[in-house]
Amino acid sequence: MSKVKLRKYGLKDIIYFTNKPKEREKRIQDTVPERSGANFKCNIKAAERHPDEQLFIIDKITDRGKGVKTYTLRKKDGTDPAFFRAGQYVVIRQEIDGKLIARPVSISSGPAETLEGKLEVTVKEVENGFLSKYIIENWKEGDEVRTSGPQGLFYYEGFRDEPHVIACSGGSGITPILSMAKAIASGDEDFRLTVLYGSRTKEDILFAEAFEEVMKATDKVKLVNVLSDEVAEGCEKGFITADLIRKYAGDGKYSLFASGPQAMYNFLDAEADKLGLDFKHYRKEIFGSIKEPWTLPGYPEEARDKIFRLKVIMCGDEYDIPCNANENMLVALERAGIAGPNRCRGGVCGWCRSKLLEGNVFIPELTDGRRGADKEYGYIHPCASFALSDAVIEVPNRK
Amino acid sequence: MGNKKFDCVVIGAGLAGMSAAVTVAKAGKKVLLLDQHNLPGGCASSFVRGRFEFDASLHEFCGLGKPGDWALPGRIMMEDHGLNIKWIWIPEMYRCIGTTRSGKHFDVKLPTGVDNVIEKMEEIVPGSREPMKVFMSLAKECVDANDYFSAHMSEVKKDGFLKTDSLYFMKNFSNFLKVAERPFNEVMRNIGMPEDAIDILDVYWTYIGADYSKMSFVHQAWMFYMYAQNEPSITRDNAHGLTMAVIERFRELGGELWLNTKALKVCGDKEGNITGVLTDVGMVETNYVIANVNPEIAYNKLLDENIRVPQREYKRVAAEKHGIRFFNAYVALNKSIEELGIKDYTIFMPGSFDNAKNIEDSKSYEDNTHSVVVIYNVVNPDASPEGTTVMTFTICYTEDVWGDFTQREYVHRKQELFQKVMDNFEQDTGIIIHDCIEEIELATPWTFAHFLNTPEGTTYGYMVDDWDTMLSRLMAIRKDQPIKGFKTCGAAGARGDGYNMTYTNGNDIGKIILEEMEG
Repeated sequence: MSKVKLRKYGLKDIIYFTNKPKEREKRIQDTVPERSGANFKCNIKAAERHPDEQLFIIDKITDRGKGVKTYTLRKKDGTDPAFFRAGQYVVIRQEIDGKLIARPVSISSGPAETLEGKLEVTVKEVENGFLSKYIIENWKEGDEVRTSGPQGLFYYEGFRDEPHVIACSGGSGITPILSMAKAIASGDEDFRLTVLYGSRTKEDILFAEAFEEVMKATDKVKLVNVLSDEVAEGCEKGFITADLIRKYAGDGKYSLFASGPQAMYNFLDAEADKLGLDFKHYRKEIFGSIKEPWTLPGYPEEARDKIFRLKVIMCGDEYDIPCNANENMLVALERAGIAGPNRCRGGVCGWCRSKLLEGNVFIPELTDGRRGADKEYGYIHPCASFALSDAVIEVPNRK
Repeated sequence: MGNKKFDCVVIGAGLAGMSAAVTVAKAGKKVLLLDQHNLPGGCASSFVRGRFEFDASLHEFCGLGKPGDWALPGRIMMEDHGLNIKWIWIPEMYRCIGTTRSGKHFDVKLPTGVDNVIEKMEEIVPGSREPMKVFMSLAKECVDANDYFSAHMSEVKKDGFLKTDSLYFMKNFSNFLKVAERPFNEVMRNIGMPEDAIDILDVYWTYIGADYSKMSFVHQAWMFYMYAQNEPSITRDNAHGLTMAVIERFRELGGELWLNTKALKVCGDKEGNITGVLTDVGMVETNYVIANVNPEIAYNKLLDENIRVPQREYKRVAAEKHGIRFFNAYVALNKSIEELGIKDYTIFMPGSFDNAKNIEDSKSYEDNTHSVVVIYNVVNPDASPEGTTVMTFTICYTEDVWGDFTQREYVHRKQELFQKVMDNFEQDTGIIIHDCIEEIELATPWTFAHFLNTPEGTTYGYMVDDWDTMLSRLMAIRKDQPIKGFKTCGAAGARGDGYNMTYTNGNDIGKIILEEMEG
């Protein structure tokens, strides 16, 4: 390309060019210095919405029977809890015997209640549930409770979901659905919600009154109790089947939301297939970490019940800890008191992401939420990985 | 924790921080790279939703070049740093849809290749051919001058500015000297570019975030030429793949990466010499620190009281204006681009091509629906599962228009805005997407403030302004870093924003620190 002749530019422009840095310097020198570096509005809003940690006081405990309790929490510093999307959870961080244990717990209050300074979590004591047992037995009014900010992706999204949602839930899996119902009543969400709530008997139904209250406030929410072991007036008998879903769906389009234990999902997955639902129309809350990995396809049986050695590198320090093949690797880190950041416990959120430097692990496909490049470069999510050999991993700082 | 000692500590594993870390580690130094998040990369990241992985920010890498003929940023990444990245080149510049100031409606697509662009512009706006030739010739000179300049940045004059060989510049880059710092639109007019053509060339403004009636010619010219000549590029495994390639190289070079680790203070002794970095895992000894942190935050929050920040630096950061910030919609569709009829990778939908009006609109929530749409599957079949599509919509703001929303209205504001943007897209292109959205995530300056911790959630550092041009910042690159043993790098640095610029700036700063180490 030949050099062009510029008629309208000349020496004065070269001088202009040459003076530019000096002009900038003059502008700098003429500025009144202010020391700030803080208090940007968006940063404050972001910190309110996504706090690393919230310190609460237990204001009230409601015993709902059958090992289920609701804890009403208020922030210790008097500020409002972080606003959230109905369906989200918080991670409880509890020190037990000097070790920090973290578990996700659903929020059962509505988002509008944060504006009254209130957040409710509901905990059900589950068999072998380390933290749930501790909470039910030990937490009392006035205690301090530490949680994460709101987490999770199980919420209504109008651009994706149909205006009518059929929510299938079982047992204490009803909590995020209740939160959604409350959000509809308060005007924070706008969709039609039909809840198919599976319980064994009428006695097992949770939050009946709370739903009554919501349905008084809005006609967009409808509750159908589905009892497996009892015939009762006003309730469906049996399981949440494709036929039952069809019955309540009517002719229009709908999205299917599911929140419950793994056993319910196994059943519901087959029913969703019968209904011909695609990914867009069928959404499940994370059910927590996978138990009994040896029941899954591809698991090498010989690893089961073994205790491996795990070398852990964290910020230049090394730890040598045992790792039970039957439990996910994050549990091994927790047992050793060196667990770093974690949230979902189901392989999805990526907070516990670590680099596997040596050794083999089993990663169930169902909970493999890793990024593509992470798979290529040997990163794992310990909460969804099971050791198959002695291993070396580099983990994020636990502070 | 034992005694930890490093030759250099880099705070923040964003693109510039990672680049600086590799540059210093490659010289055989023991380097620690810290990031407060559990994931390195800063903006160069991705996230997973359902069966999709979304690229957080990489739309089009500018100025990579090609194997054997790398342009400056490409040369640093692929040759100097020896990164293993799988690039994809995009054989188009952009499609843009909107109305020019003259009232004419255009829906046009610019190809790559300098000659192709010139011919296409002539076809779109007759009379553009000759001025386009002049524009491209000037732009080429800007690229060459910038290359030469970047290779000769080590000599400093008494007044702190870089020493340049003015005779060499006069001889080889005289046109560059004449137009580089003149406002882009003024140069366009003076070389006879038709007004409609100026409007169409101006659509790149969101990539720089500046007012083209004020921004210097060299900035847009360099970018435009690089895109035209070298094609835009992305990586096959998205921005996180790029980050992983840099981190892997850094580890090979013996570097240590500590994640979820916050630098609380950069510490100095009574004489003001850097002695270490206090982190939330304890003190790390070092005499050299590079912070991939906005200087305003670094000076006010990171440095302890022993380290003297010259008054001039407080003046400088007070004079700077925080740059642009984004609303991003990350959208996954359960239909393929073929089913949807999508053919274009980048679509600018400014509505109006009037740059001055758009800059005004970018200060408002209601008026700003000018979006850039990127559809990854058009060039990368691996971008999402078979039969699906991933795309992003981006809107840029030159002011903080999100800061006053309440927590309760926030989600509704995001949804309301995306509804408008999606309606515009469907109307302008005839492509219907609203019924096949399988995953969606809407990010705002709040989101970026949360993940990046930048002032006001800005992603582009300081505004490139008519008084604060890229070249005058580069001339002052050493003057703006007066603290011995402590330097900042990133989008708020000398080269401004963008993957290419921040990566190059990290390398510049890494070299400056190495020089200080050598004494």
